[in-house]
Amino acid sequence: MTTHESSWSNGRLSQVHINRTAVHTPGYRTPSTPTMAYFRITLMRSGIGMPAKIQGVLHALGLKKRMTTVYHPVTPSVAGQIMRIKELVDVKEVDKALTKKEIHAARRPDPGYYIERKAGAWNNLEQ
Amino acid sequence: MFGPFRLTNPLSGGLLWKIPWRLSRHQKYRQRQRLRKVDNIIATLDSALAKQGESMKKVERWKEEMPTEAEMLAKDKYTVFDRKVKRYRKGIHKVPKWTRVSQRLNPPGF
Repeated sequence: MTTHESSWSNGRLSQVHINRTAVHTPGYRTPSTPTMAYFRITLMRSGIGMPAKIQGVLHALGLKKRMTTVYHPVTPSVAGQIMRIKELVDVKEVDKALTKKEIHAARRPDPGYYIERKAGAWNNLEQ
Repeated sequence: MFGPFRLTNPLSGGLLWKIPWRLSRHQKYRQRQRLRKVDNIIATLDSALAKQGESMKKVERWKEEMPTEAEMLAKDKYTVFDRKVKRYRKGIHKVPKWTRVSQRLNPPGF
């Protein structure tokens, strides 16, 4: 802390100052906190024909087509955006944000079979 | 008399749409579901923010001012105030984009 103070006196207020405020602000959460919560937002009703402001909010949240699902952290600003489009979306609070790939994998139906062994594995069978 | 060029009011007079005067009971049912869905979203936002120790003015104000679906009168669920209509009420299905907008409060006394 003493070094920080000296940097203040030198007039070099840069990163040091920013870090200090970030750590000491009450209620501040770093993004990597394990108790992070997310809004899972799905666009159920299209924004076609709605005012430009509402369509802009949809675009800002990344909702471009119906049935798109996006994840956003639980913050007042995101909550405010959801308030604007509350008639069009479905919102749930979840612990984990899924990536696009994970969403795709979750939607894939059960194939109905399982693989005993790969086609090229005959040598292993004989042994 | 028949066919695509028959003389009917909508075809001969230009814009004439026939919107029924009242909602069907199935339309009313779906309207209630939509109202409930918005109520649920408000509750979700509120609880999620409360868990983080945050709150938001817009959500608080909505909770304070807007009646939930259960609290609303049937009159307010299915009709809206309109100063140009006899007895000052018209069906909510005459509001543009009525399935995608919130319209819960009406002027007091009407």
